[in-house]
Formats: sequence, C-alpha cells, structure tokens
Amino acid sequence: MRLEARLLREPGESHLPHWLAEPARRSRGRPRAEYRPRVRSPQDVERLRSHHVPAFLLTPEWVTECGYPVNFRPWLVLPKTLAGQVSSEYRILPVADADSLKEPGIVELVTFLLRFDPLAARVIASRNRGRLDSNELYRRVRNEGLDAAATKVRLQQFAPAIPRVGASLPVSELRWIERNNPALEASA
Amino acid sequence: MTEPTVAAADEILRKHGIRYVVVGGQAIAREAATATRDVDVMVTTADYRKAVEQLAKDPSLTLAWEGGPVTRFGIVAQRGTPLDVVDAWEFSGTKSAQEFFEFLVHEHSVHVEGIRYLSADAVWYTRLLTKRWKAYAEKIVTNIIDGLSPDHLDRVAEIAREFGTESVLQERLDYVREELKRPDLKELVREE
Repeated sequence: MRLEARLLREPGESHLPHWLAEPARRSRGRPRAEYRPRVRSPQDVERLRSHHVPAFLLTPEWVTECGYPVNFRPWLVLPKTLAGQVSSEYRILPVADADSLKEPGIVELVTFLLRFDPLAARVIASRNRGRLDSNELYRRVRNEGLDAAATKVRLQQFAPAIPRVGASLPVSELRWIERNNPALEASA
Repeated sequence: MTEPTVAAADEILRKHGIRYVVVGGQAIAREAATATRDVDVMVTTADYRKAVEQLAKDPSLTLAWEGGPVTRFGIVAQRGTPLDVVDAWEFSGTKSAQEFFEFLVHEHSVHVEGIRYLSADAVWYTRLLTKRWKAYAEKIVTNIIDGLSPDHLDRVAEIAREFGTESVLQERLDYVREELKRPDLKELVREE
C-alpha cells in the first residue's frame, strides 16, 4: 500500500497555465482536474506557490546570504507525497512536513540543509542564532526525523530538546569548519 | 572557467616558478558543490621551504601563519582569500613526497586552462588522512549527494595501498561507506 498525492483544481479555482501543468486526468462529469506540474525555472516555482502548491526552490544564493558562501545546484523542495507527481530537471528534496514550505525562514533552511549538507546547517544555525527559534527548530527537526543528523552537528546547542541520537562530530572539527568558511562580509 | 581566486594564485605561483597542483575544495569544485573559496596548492617537499620563503617576500601576499606542513597566505588582490601551500610529504606514506607528487600529477590530476587540479578521489584521499577526517567525511558524503560517484572511494583505497596508508584509511573509508547507508541519503542519491 502506498499513499499518493495529487494536485486537484477545486471548482471556482483558476486554471494553472498549460505550460506549467498539464491536466493528467479528468473523469467524465467530475468537476476537479488532476495536474502534473512541470518545473523548469524559478518563475515556475513562484507560479506554483501562487496557486498554493507547496513547493520551494532552495538556492545557493539564499544559503550564501544567510552566512555560508556555497555553490550547489538548486534543490526543488517538495512534500514527499508530491515529489513523484512533479516533472522537473531540478533535483528534488522531499520533506515530510508540507507546512515547512509555506514561508521558509532560517529554521526551515537549517532543516533542509541537514538533509544534504549538515555542516552548512550547523554554520547557518550558528551565524543566525539570534533569529533562530529553538522551539521551532526542535519541531521541524522532529517532524523530518532528523534527530541523528542534528546530533551529528550538535544542534542541541541551539535547540536543547532535540533528542540525542547517534554520535556527534568533535567540537574542534565543527569550530574549524566555521572558521574555514567565513561569511562573505567577514572575508575582507 | 577558472575561478578568479585560483587564477590569482596561479599568477603568483607562476611568477616564482613554483610547480604545484590545486588540491582541496577548488579541485572538488570542478566536479561538485563546495563551500570553499580559499585555494589549496600542493608542492613537493624539496620545493616547499623555498616556495614558502619566496612567497613570504611577495607583496601580493600576506603571511597568515605557518603550521608545519601547511603555510597560509592571504591573496591581497582577492580580499585576503587564503592561499594554503601544502607539503606533499604529509600524505606520501611509505614513499617519498616526490614520488607521491609525481604519482598525483600523472595519475590523478587534470590540466584545465593551464592549471593542474587534483581529481576528486585524490582530494578525498588527502582529506581522509588529516586529523579532521570526520568533518571531511561529511563533506565527502555531501559530494556524493551532489553527484560524485561513490566509486571514487575504491580509488582512494587504491591510492592508500600504493602509498602504504591503508591501515589508517580503511577505518575512515568504512565510516564513509556506513554513512552512505543512511536511508534518507539513499533517497537523495537515487533522485539523481
């Protein structure tokens, strides 16, 4: 058994542009149409978001602005239930909690990064400590089942309630990573 | 296209006639994402002392610190971006630094726009031999998520056998391979 998610247009809602999402199926006499979005650009993601589709483009520019200069190919962050329903050339980062895609901030960024670059997550948390809500970070990490990744980079320092699961990297190595990757404004 | 920081380092090193190969994050950056903006270059032990002395007198660099097999300079024209000069001896195991350096140049490097870069497998080899290998193991996992093949780990083991460092590296390679078994990671690697 598996759970499937579909994008359905409710009666009264406007159509998605045909180049963004083609109707995949429409049963005779049914008022709702099923869509399979195609995402090829940041604008496509914005248009999906404007239609309340939980999607978010995680870019290196945002991570760099938040204090960790980095280059990577952008990730299209989608709810796990929707990940298989979207056609895209972007890499897909599936998340358990669709709510985290509504208005992603520092807490959500740290949670996304934990999936594929926990060292970056640690540096971002450290450099944005004043903007980090420890309760929210705890909630997001738990929702995504990222206790072990959070423990590895000692995020309990910022959200003490996160359960400790598995081993942590030595403090000296984490400090070294931070020293060795200064934020852009601090590098001059 | 050559990174401006690498181009600036190359210009300075060339001016002094220093033979080098780009290692570290800038070498990885050719194949995968990286957070590193600094430039790490490896030279042979025979050249290391002389190279450091020459570079220390160059006004286009500032000497940040000397730490045994690594000396850090800042590239003035690149807002002080670090240029780390690394002695190949640190990684040569049971053979000479010269043999190790030549092996890397001939077997594990590429020449791009006049600059020689170490291959990802050789960078991973050097990273896993350092005292900060656990943090580097995380970076290796991130490189693999970003599209580098885990097969590079087999080539790291081959380099270790060639230079007699396998007893140190085996445990560290096992650690990386174990990390790669995490279920959430498989999902991301499979998405490639």
